[in-house]
Order: sequence, then structure tokens, then C-alpha cells
Amino acid sequence: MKNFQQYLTQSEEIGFVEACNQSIVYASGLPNATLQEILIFEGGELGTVLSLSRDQVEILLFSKYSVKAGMRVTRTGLKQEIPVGFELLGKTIDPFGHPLNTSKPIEEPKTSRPIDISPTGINTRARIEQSFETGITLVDMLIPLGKGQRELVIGDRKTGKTSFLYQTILKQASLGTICIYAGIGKKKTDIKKVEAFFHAAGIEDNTVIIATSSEDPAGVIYLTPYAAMTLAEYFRDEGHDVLVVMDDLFTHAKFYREIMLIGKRFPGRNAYPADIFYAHARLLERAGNFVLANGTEHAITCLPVVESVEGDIAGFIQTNLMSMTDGHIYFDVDMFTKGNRPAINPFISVSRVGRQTQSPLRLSLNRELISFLTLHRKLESFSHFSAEAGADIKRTLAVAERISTFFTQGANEVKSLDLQIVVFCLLWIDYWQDLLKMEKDIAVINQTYKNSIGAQSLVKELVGSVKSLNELLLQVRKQQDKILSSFGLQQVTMTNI
Amino acid sequence: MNNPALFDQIIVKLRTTTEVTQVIHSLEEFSGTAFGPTDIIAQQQIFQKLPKEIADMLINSLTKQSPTAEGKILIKRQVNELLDKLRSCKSVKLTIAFQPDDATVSLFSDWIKTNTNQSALLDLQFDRSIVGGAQVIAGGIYKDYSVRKNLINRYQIQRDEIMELLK
Repeated sequence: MKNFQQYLTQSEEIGFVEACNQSIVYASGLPNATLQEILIFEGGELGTVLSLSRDQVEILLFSKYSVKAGMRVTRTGLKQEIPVGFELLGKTIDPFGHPLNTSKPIEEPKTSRPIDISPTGINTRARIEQSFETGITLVDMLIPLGKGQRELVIGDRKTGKTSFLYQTILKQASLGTICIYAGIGKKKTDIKKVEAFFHAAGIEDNTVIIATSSEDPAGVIYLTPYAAMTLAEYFRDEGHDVLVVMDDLFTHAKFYREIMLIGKRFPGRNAYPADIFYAHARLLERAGNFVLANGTEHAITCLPVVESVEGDIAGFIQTNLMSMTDGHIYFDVDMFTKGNRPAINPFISVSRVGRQTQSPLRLSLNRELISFLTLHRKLESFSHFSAEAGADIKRTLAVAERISTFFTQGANEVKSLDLQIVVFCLLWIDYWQDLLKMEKDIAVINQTYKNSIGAQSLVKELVGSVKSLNELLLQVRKQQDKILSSFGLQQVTMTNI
Repeated sequence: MNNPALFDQIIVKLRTTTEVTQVIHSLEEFSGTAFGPTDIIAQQQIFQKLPKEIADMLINSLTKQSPTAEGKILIKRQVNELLDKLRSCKSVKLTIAFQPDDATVSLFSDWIKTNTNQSALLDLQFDRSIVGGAQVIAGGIYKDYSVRKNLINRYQIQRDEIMELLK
């Protein structure tokens, strides 16, 4: 980037700082400045044109150090841009592409793209038809997602949202998807943790971290998710499926509110500016399943995160985001304290487009499970009245307990959905009676499956050959011995089928 | 007396932003004494620091009113009106490489007033480093007609030849 004097000579336009209020600066002059243009101050600070009036230019500062009244400012003729390229994979950058981790030098990409653009129209979009695996059995079975879906991740602090995001990124990166983690106004230690996780999991080559810390200027924090989306669009156009995680949009909304209140915009509900919905919708609308010029389809799947306070999901920003996404995964603090991991509440969570991407088998499994869990929920509420339970009710409660154990998944542990479907069939046909034995067996199965090509091909064959849960249950019953033996489990005689 | 017309005449007579600042300070000082015990001589003294022609115009228009309460209110209103006009005057910033004498300042000011606006002011800056020529800033437009810039441009184009000559 050139210096102030060079830009002044080039643009031949100058402004003088009239007033300065934290990250907002008002300057006179600059008669031909345009919205979102980058401006440079004589001290080297950067800013962008936020609004224009007859006599003044309102500038949003991107620099930490506040400018002073009387300072000179000039136009650069540049828009807010981020350098894009495969050189950024495995790197941690700020919204302008500068490396945050100086121990990893970045070869500067040759191309740049504007950070804030309008979403493309309907003619470039296609129906979401491919399923998106998160590696979390509960989500993949009960709240299935599709590639190109925008699924809100909502929950209180410390309820396992970040673990879920890590697991999803781990699963998707292992499937070849490029994953972009946008950390918005995070603590520097949190950004380091994400970096360390990606490094430890060996998925750095498929990931980019775009992060801003809470110490950064509000203007830079505001741009973080837009920059992440721009980078995602680049990888999509290069023929890759992309996952963008935005952690989190509640913080983004708060920083946007700060900027707009300092800029004397009229406050709306909860003091947020009137265009907060537009700011987020414009961002999330850039995700989806797209048809490229060469006719191929590539998706940008987006997982925006929003924090709820004391389980209240009816907050302003939360409901805004719910209405502009294709569903939400709710992390329930009560379930978390009861020990459920992941603490996802399947009854409050919604996936609006994921089911259309499911195979007939997965769809039938999903229906069966949902209807069973709904039944169990009703029975559970009756059991609170100490009513004497019949044999059927007792069996339902016992199976529900086993399903709950089946869905339990440790942090950073990802599972193959096909394997989980077969394991679920074993559970459904009452192979396990004892919970402890079931837990042990599942651990053995997961371990064996990772290393056994025979088990993997058997599972693939079983799941691929049937179209409904009933058909699969029939096959599992028929081939039970073979399945158990390939899973490395002791064969037992089935007496309770 | 038609004060708005007189005020326009005062503004036309003012050449530089420095002069305008002096007038503004005098007017603010005068405004502070307007409602005190009336001492016309002391009030007239306030304007004596200004160029004679402007001082006379201000004394005639502001200190010759009746010292009644209504008259003072009227004067205060007129002072505020003049202050607003002075503060809203546009200026042309001119940076030159030499300290100009009074005749040169008048020459520059006349040129600016004739070619832009009668109320336009000259904001004159002195910067020896530009070597010669001038840098002009008006309405946010910056034009560098300095000798320094020409030398830099020339140096960038003919670097090798110049270096050869300097050897």
C-alpha cells in the first residue's frame, strides 16, 4: 500500500478532520469520496466512508490510534478488499488478509476481492440436495443438514457449542471441504485454541481462520464475517465446497450497535440500529448451493453462532437470525447440566432443508426416531405422576435410555453416520440389555471400524442395499453374526428378538 | 443603515483567514461587553486592532446605535449574524515558498475573489520545502503546482540521466 502523500498526489483530493468520536471521524473536503471507499490519514491510519452528507464525510476508523482534529485525509480509490488465494489455507488472518500469527509467513495472494458485496441472485442457485455430515450422530440422525444450508447454532455460554463446531469442522475437513472459521471479537487465547485444535487434528491444510480480537477497532471486527464470506466465495468459485463458521453473530451485532450509536444513528429495539436485520441477512444470503458458470454445483454451508442468555432464545438478535437461517440447533443448558453430551435439544432444534437431502433409509430412520422420542417424552411426563408403568412403557423408557447413551458423544469425537445407523439397528432390535455393556461394545465397534476395511465395506453394503429402516432391520437380524464378528464383538445367541 | 449589505462589504474587504480570525475575536470581545455598562470609547477601542477601514465600518455599524435595552439586543443579533457569515466563508489554502509582502497578499486575494467568490478567503501558508510554485487546496481539491513536485516527477522519469549529471 502506498503512503498518504502518494495517494494525495494520485487522487488530488483532500479532507480535514473536523471532529472525532472514538471510531467515527467527521472530515470536510473529499468532494468525490464514495461509500465504502478506503481513506488514508496523514498518520497512516485507515478508515472507510460510512456515510456522506453535503459538507462532511463520516469515516469509520480501522486503526487503533484515534486521529486528531485538523489532520489531513485523502482518498485511496480502493474498496474494502481481502486478498484471496489458496496461500491462505492453514493461516490465521485478519479481515484485510494480514497474518495474525507472524510465525507463519504468508505468500501474498495475487488476487483480491471486495469484502462487502450483494448476494447473487436466484439464477445462480440450485436446490440443496447433498447431505452435510457433522460427525455428531444426534444431529446427523435427528436434525440432518444439507450442503449450502444456513443452520444457526444457538445456546447459552459453556453448553458445548464450540465443541460441536470443532467436531463439524473436523468431519468436513476430513471429507475435503474447505472450512473457514470466523472468530468475531474473540479473546486472543480463544483464537489460539482454535489454531491449536486445527493443528492437533491435522486439518490445517483445509482450514482458514479469520479472526479479530476484542481489542481490535470496532470497524475491523464488524468486517470479520463479511471477509470470511468473501474468502468462501473465492474457494467456491475455484470448485470447492466450503463451510463457514461465524463465531458469533451476537458479538457482531453488539459491535455494529456500538458503531451506529457512536455514529448517532437512531436506535431501534434494544438500541440496535434499524438495519441490523439487513446487515445479517445480507451476510447470510451469500451462503447457499450455487451453480457455477461451468455448470457444476458447489455450496457454501454456513453455521452462524449466536449466544442466548439464560436459555432465552426469543431475544431480538436470536429471533432475527432464526428467521433468516434454514433452521437452528439448540444447546440446552438443562440437558448440559443433566450430563447429556452433546446437549442438543432435538425438540427445539429445527432443520428446514436438511431432510430433503436424506436417502430414503435415513429419512425413514429419522421419522422412526422422532416419533419414538416424542412418545418417550410423553411417557416421561406421565412417569412424573408415579403412575404404575406397564411392560410396554417400561420397555419404551429402557430403550430411550439406551438411545440417550447411544447419542452420547465425547468432545472432538466424530462418527461415521453409516456405522451409527447399523449400531442403531442393533440397539433397536434389543441386542443390548445392559447399558454398561452397550457403552463398552460401542467403544469397541468405533475402534474396530476405524481400522477394519471389512467392517467398513460391510456397513457400506448394508446401508447401500436397503431403502427403509424395516428392510435394514431385517438385514441386520439376518446377518447379525457376521456383523458382530466384523465389529470384533463376541457373538451371542439372540433370545429376545 | 442596511447592515446585511454593510456586512457583505466587510467580508469583501477581508483578505485572509488570519484577518477573519482577528475580526471574529474582536466581535466576540465586543459581544461580551454589549450588555455591560455602556462605554462607547472602550467598545470602539476593541476594533482599533483591526485594519482601519474594517474597524471604521464596524464602529459605525455597531457602536453608534442607541444604548437602550432594545438597541443592545439589536446589536447583539447583528453581531451574531456577522459572526455566522464570517465563520461560513470558504477559504482557498495556498502554500507558497516565500513570505509574501502585503501587496502580494492583496494580489493573491483579489485574484481569488475575482475568480471564485467575493467572500472567498485566502489561507496563506509558508513552506520553504516546496522550493517554488504553490500548493492549492480549495473545496477539498488538492493541486500541487510546486517546484518540488515537478522535480520529483522529473527525477522519477529521468533518474539515470540526472544521476549521470550529478556524478
